[in-house]
Amino acid sequence: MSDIIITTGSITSAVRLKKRLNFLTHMNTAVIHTPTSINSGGCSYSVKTSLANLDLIKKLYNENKIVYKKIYSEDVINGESVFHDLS
Amino acid sequence: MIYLDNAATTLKKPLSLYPAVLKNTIINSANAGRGGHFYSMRASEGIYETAEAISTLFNIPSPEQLAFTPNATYALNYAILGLLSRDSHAIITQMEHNSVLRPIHKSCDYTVIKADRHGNIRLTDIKKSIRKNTKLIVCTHASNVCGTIMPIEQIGKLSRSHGIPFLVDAAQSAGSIPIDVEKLCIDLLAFSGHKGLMTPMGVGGLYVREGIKLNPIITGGTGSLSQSLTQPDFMPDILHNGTLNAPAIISAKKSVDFILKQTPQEIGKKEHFLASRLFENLKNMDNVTAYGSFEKGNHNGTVAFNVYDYDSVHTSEILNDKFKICTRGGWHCAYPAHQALGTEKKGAVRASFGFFNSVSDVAKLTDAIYFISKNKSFF
Ligand SMILES: Cc1ncc(COP(=O)(O)O)c(C=O)c1O
Repeated sequence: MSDIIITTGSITSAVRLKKRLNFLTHMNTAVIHTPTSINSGGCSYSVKTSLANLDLIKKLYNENKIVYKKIYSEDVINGESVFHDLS
Repeated sequence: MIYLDNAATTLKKPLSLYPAVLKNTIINSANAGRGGHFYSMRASEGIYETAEAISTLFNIPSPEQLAFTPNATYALNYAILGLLSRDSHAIITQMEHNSVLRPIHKSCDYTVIKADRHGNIRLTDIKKSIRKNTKLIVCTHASNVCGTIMPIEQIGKLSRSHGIPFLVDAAQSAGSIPIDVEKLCIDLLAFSGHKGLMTPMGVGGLYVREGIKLNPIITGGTGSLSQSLTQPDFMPDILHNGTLNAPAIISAKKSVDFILKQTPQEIGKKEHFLASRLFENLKNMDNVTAYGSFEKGNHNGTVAFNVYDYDSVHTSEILNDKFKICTRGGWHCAYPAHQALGTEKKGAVRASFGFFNSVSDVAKLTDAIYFISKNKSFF
C-alpha cells in the first residue's frame, strides 16, 4: 500500500495535524519535510500516512476537525517518487 | 538571601525545570523547523508541546496563533509596530512599561489614560478617547510598579464592541492571574516566560487572534515559503524569524505544567496574601509610605514603598547589603506610573513576591524596613 502526503502551512500546523490524526484515528503518522516537487505553495512540512486512511481524512476535513492544504499520493516508479494530487 | 524581585524575573523555578534544561540542551539543540531530520523534528514537536500547554493555560483556541519570542518586549514590539502606522491613533494607560510606551511613542498619535495615585484607571476615560482612527488599545494586566490589576475584561468588551484590537501586556500576570483570551476579549496577548510562568530566560510569546494581520517588523528565515522574497503572512511563521531557543522553550513546558497543576488562581492567591501582609505592616509604620490598590483589593504580589523621602535606590541597596534582601529601587522602566503614584522624584522600592516566598520573608522585610526607618544613620 502506498502512502499519502498531507501538506500544511507550517511546522506548527504539521505537528498539530499529526497529533490530531493520532488521536482521532490511532493511525501511524509522521511529520516530514515536504518534497520540493510538491512544495510550490510553500508548505514546508507535511504529514505522511497510509493511503488507506484517505477517506477518513477527507471526512474529518469536511467536518472541520482537521485542517490541511493538499493531499498527494506517493508512488515510487523506477526508483523515483511520483505525486498525484488527491485533494 | 531573600529574593523579592519576582516582578523582574523569577529566580526560583519549579524543581522539574532544572533537569529538563540540562536534558534539552543535550538532546534538543537541533534547529527546529529547519529540515526533516530526526533531531530537528523532535525539537519542533517539543516546541509544539509547549505551545499547546500555554494555549491551555490562556485558552488560546489554536497553538498556531501563538508565536514564541525571546521576552515580552519583543512580543509587544511585534504587536504594536506590526499594527500601527503614522496615521493611526492608539490608547494606552499611564501604568504601561517602556516596552509599550517606547514603541507606541515612535509609531503614532496616542492618548494616555491617566491613573489615580493607586494606579487605577477609569473605563469611561478610555471610552471618551476612542477616535475614528483608533487602531489599538493597549493595557498592562497588572502594574509592574505597584501591582494594581487593571479592569481587563471591561476594556476587552469595550474594544470588541468598537472593533478595535486589544493588546494586553501580561508580563506581570501570566502564571498568577487566570487569563482566558476568549472570555476577556483579548486580541493580542504578550507575555514573558521568565517571570510568573517560571520558565528559563529567553522565553516569551505573543498570541494573535485569528483574522488579525500584523506587518512583520523583522523578516528572515522561517523554514517555510523559502522560495518567496516576502515573509509568510500566517502565524506563527510570520513572527518566527531565525533560530528559536528550542532547549529553553521545550523545557518551559515543565514550568507551564507546574502552573497548570497549581493553577494561576492559587499561585496568585498566595502572592496576593504575602503582598497584603506586607502592605498592612507598612501601613502602620511611621515614616513609611506604601503604594498600590490594596484598599480595593485589585492587586497582585507586588508592593512599592518608600522610607521617608530617601532615595529608593539607596534603600534597596541597604536592604541588599545589610539585610540580604533583594528588592528593586528606581523607576522600574515605567516613569509615568511613578508620576501617577507621586513617586517620580525618587522612585520607589519594589518588593515582588513569587510562589516560592513565605510569610517569614514578609516578616524579615518588615523588620528590616522598620529598622531602616528608625536609623537615619543609614542615609
Ligand atoms: C509590565 C511589563 N511589561 C513588559 C516587560 C518586559 O518584559 P521582558 O523583560 O520579558 O521583555 C516588563 C518587565 O519587567 C513588565 O514588567
